[in-house]
Amino acid sequence: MTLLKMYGNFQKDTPEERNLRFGVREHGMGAICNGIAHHSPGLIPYCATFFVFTDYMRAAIRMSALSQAGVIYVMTHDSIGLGEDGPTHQPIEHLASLRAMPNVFMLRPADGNETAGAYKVAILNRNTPSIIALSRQKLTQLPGTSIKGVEKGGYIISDNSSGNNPDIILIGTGSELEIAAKAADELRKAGKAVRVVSLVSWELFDNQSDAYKESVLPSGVSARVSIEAGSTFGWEKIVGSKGKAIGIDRFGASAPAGRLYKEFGLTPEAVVAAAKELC
Amino acid sequence: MGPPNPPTTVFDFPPPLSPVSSSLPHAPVESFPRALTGVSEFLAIDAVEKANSGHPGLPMGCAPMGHVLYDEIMRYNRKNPYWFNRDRFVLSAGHGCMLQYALLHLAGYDSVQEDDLKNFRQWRSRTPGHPENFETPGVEVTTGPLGQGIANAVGYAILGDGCQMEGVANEACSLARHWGLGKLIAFYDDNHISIDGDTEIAFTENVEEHFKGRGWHVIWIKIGNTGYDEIRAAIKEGKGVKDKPTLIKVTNNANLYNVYGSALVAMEVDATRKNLAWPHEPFHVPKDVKRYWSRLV
Repeated sequence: MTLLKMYGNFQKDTPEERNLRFGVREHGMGAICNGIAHHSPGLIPYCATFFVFTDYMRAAIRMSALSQAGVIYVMTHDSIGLGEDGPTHQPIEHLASLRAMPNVFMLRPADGNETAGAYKVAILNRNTPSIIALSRQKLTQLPGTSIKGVEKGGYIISDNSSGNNPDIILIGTGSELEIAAKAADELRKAGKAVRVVSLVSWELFDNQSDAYKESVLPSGVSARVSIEAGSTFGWEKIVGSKGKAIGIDRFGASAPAGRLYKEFGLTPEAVVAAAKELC
Repeated sequence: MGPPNPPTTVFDFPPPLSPVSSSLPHAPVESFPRALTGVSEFLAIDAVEKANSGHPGLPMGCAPMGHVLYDEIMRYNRKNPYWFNRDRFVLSAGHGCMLQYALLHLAGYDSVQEDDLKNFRQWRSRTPGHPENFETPGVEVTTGPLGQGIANAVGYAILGDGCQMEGVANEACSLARHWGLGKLIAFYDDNHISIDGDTEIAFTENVEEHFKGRGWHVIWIKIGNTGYDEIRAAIKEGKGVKDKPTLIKVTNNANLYNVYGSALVAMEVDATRKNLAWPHEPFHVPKDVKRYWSRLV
């Protein structure tokens, strides 16, 4: 449960408390949060459910975006990583479809640092809703991640290249950033100059200066591999026509998460193999 | 792993095996109801335990109504899950699917064998974590996101507190009454539990009054765990009401183990076995119970 631990439940007799228990009412929850956000600038609402159930409240999310309400959507269980609950609960097209919605920050942090960064972005942006996709599974703290990096939407977490000309760029988000990092280790052992990029939020990255974007994803480097546990729809924009996007373009399945990652080819080996074809 | 092919002709009458109907004589359920419902309860507990994942609460609480439906009331052909004239059952609270898998198994469907129960929630199994019609013949629709199933449902359905809260359920139930869907009989599992915990937290409305206000026919069974006769009588009454849908509210006040969506810890499973005096091994269906179900052939 994504509750504020230091507060109790807001109920009829305890209106001073801060956790509103919406029950299984996602659309109502989103719309109510819009009301709270618009009531006065001092109120910052967040709401939480499984990422797949953004489908149940999409109309309210759209209204947050359209009416410029800075609602914070904390969406957990964000991929096949949730495992056995199966395809009815595993998001596939959700990241792509929410990235397509105007005036939304779709953030997918990879670890504690990045989650703190995502939260900071969400709080500071009062006229744009933020959707923060979080995993069900525990994730390790990755070297190189930072709050500042998240604020730029996309940044380099590790790089053994020079002259802004790596042999290959690996791009990951959320739970798959670690997979990209492991693949980078392998490729560097084989002598490659590898840059690993965390692309937490496409919209934030887009908003940066051209110079910054060029310093992260130089146009001269077409050897790019991305990995994300979701639809590859839209990734061609990032990896280019010569790059390779690794993802899932089918519905998921009911099985333990580790098995699913293997069966769907979301592994460091797959990233290494794709990279070797390009550099 | 694509969907199975639907029957090639519309009039797909079953082979000589006669379908189940309520006019068939049955062995006196009163003599060993516990033994019967206990089997499906424990198949559910064992499957969830083995998978270390799943929701044992609903299968335990809804076993009596599930049994009366599959054992005595519903018309179906276990050898032809697509039989044209079958009764349709939808588990709107899809996370409780071990109940349905256990019943399909006991009823003799080929789609759920003992191995399928043991492979609950595993890669490529026919018993995924939420029911999928394209994976498991005998399952009519795919449910999981709450409220969808009751909206899909015609015939019999089980829905819970979570489903009731969802807007889509309200939309569909409103239309069901408007259209006079007398053949829709929905069981409401009133167990005071949802994913948030006790429904005191977020769901305190008077469901019967709500449905009555909509114009549904409403029956309330207060002792769901053991009220087999009441369940039978309620279904009979519901079937008699031809011009409106029926809601049968079944109050299960014995959520003894505060279970919703996690496997009972191994110790608790053993304790449950002792508490309910269940002497059998995991996944074991006693011979007399097998014989009992095979009378339907």
